[in-house]
Amino acid sequence: MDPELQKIEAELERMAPGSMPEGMISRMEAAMEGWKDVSWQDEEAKVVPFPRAEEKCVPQEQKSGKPLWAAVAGMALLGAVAGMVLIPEPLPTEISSNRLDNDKSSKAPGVTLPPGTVQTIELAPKTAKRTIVDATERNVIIPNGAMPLRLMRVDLVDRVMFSSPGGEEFHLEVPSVNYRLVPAPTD
Amino acid sequence: MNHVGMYVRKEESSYWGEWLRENGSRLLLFARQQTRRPEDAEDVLQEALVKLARKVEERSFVGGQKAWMPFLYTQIRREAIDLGRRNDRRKRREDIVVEDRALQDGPDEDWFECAGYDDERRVLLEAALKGLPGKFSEVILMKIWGGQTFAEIGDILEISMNTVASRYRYGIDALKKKLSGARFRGDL
Repeated sequence: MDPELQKIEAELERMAPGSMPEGMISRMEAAMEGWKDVSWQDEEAKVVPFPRAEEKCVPQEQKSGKPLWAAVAGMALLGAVAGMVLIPEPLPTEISSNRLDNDKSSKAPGVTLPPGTVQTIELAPKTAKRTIVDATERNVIIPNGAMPLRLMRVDLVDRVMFSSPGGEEFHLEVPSVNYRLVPAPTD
Repeated sequence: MNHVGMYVRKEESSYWGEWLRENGSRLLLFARQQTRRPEDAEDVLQEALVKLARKVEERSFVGGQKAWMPFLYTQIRREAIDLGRRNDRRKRREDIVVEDRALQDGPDEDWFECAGYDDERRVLLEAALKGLPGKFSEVILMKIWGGQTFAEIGDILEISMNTVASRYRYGIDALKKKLSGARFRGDL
């Protein structure tokens, strides 16, 4: 760095920040001691992650196909994994056929399943549907004098139905929230 | 048993106090730079410290004591941004001219100690520092008085180390120009 700048830097280093008054130290200390008394809101939840500036803002309609199929593929995988991990064996015929109708039958007296055993079954997604449950408009923001954008919160529910080779149906419902920035019309 | 509990509590209490006596002034300086009013600076600093205390006592803090300062700088900055947004919304809603004036003309506290330095020079440097765009002054504050490296500042601000370094140089250069201007006008 240029010697003139180094001189300024050295001059700044000689200045000492104003010390914290004793009363303030006591207040801060008391607050730190009493953190349990504060009602906590998750600090991560307070920060709404905006899409990065370089990400292009595209309204919902223009990119409707891809996210839906991505969600379906994700849920199919989730369903398959859940199917492999969670289904115990051996499954008595009367239980597997009635599982959807009456969950209680699996706990019927006399039926005992060896602990820790799993059965692998393949589940194929049959139908998938994304429903917009609610959409609300939030604040308008103007990023560095650029085009005004409105923040929109969209509440969604993805419903996917899986079927097993035996014809059983499994329904999966995943609620989610999306935030979108859409161009806001201005005068 | 109670005595032991009280003793431990007292130990903890004096520990935070000692730690604040050692590091509080640097954090307060940063909080003042990040906010518009002295009381806001105190608020955001307190919020950040309480979050640190909670994480430390819950043993959920990642990193040792060396990581406290970067964590606090990050928290102070976040709290100040949140507070600034809330104040802006409130200002828009209320639209009270008197309060706006009070906000802008509120007491301007000294950032630096008066003693041990040429006061005239200090006033000029301090005014020049306050007059810098925030993105330059925050880097200078964290580097010079916070003792943070460019890499650490980059992590706190979520920008690259090169950007931090260039902001720092720009800021120091801007200070130099302001001081040269003062010398030219005869203020020095």
